[in-house]
Amino acid sequence: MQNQNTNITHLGRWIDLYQEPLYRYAFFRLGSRSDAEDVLQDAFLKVASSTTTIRNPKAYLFAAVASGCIDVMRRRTKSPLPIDTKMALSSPTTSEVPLEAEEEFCRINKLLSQLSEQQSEVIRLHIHAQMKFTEIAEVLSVPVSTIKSRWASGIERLKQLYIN
Amino acid sequence: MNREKYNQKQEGQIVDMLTPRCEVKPSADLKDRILEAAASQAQAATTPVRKPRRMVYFMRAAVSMAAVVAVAVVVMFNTPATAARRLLADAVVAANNAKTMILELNVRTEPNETFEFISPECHFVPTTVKVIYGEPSMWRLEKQGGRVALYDGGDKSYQWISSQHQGWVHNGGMFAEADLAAFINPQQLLNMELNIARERKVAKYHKYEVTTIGDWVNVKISATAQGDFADSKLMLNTSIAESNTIRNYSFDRQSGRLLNMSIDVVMPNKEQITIVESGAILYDEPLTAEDIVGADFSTVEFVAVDDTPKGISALVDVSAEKAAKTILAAISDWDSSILNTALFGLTPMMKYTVRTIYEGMEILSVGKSFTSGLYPGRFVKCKVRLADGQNEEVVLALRNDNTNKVWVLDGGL
Repeated sequence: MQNQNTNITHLGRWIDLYQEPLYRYAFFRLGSRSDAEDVLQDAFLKVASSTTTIRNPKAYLFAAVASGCIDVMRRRTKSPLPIDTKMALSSPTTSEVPLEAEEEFCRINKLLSQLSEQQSEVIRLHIHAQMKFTEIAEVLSVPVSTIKSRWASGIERLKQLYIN
Repeated sequence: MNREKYNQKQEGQIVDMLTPRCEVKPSADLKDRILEAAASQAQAATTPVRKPRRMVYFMRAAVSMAAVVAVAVVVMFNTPATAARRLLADAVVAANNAKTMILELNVRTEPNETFEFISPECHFVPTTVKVIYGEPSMWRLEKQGGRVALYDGGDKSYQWISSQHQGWVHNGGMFAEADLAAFINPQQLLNMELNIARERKVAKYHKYEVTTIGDWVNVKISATAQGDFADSKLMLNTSIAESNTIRNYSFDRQSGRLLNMSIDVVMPNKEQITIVESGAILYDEPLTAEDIVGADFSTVEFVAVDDTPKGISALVDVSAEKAAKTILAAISDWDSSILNTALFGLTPMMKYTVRTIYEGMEILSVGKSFTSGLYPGRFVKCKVRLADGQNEEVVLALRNDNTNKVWVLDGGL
């Protein structure tokens, strides 16, 4: 219970520190603002109610959000994503104008759909959540070398598809 | 350029492509909401704080009660279904044998809102159902100090708001039944449950338990929210159908009569909040037609809701966003040529209220439209500056599911 109280005490600071990268990650995973916020809320409540001391709250929260996003997507399996049907992007590289977040979700997911889920996840965590490879390794519980390899192979695949 | 630099440049191009070109930030109040939920979670035993809710008039049925019934029923029919079906059948027979019924309910709602509207944040509003069974049956449903629905056995049915003495009249006796069936008539609820039981429409994620205590048989149903909340959770927990619920029915073992019922909403933090609870359920009490119609009926001014709104070009074949902008501009200028259609279905009192508050406003922004839950129309979040300089955010509920496919304002102001 003491650990739980400690976690609650830190909650406000953790929200300040991590809510934006967590939200960016969740949004570009789910494409829905409300779902992303729900997933974040659940993750923060989970950390607050944890009866153990959280040594690495960032890794804990990202793991919780990643898991929450998968749960949401699982629940959606019977219905299409909310906005992807709107999108019919001719080329992912043509637009220089800042797009709405939802359109950006579709554009980026169209690119990531060319990759394996493991490659996409590393790219999302590195670019959208702005995490270092060492941090991603901790969240995904795999060696750093594996993370770097997934990153490199994912980028290489996209280079072949869109540049070369 | 050497090979390494060339590769780095290409990697930079790919990273640019994968980088969002706009800022994506959580809502400004997310932190507060999380902290509030954490505090609530830490004090799970305390009574939830219920804040008054902004009125959102949905003029007509936004959610079919058939969906509500489906929530309750689909569950029944996993094994052991036989006991549940027998209990339901007994209850249906008992209700059929009753000459009258008076059902007293406490419902977390707003007095003036539609009967389907519930909110865990609201206080309980005493609600009474009176029915004289017959061919046809007569019934009256009344929220204390608020909305009344009435079917007097004739060719029309009525709803009104008692404090305003204004309401709506609909040809036929089904005006209220579509969205009020569960509260008006347990018999109908149980009948529909029984029908679905027979059809064996089972959703695996619904559960039910049947227990017996003395002469009481209790049926507990756990049901998940119906509707699509992928766009927005605006409508989550605003009706029974659109909530995760636990419904409890108690029947008399001998007569099969419904003795007690309650509906709890299961909140995202797993907290259960009772939103409907029954008080007295009286069968065969002396009730007359005068008790159903009531003395107040003759004081009400009604508008008809059967006419189709006129299909004006400004509100047909346009997006919901465009329609929202047109309607807000028309309200600002009080342009009757548009508002006669756009505010179709509002009572004179409601129109007066809308005009008093919003005439002369400036439209600051019109957001992207979205859907939520079972609502058949679309919602549009708009920011306006009122004539007195105050900024206000409104979520307009617009629908065009009428014969002329014309957008009308269904709620939100």
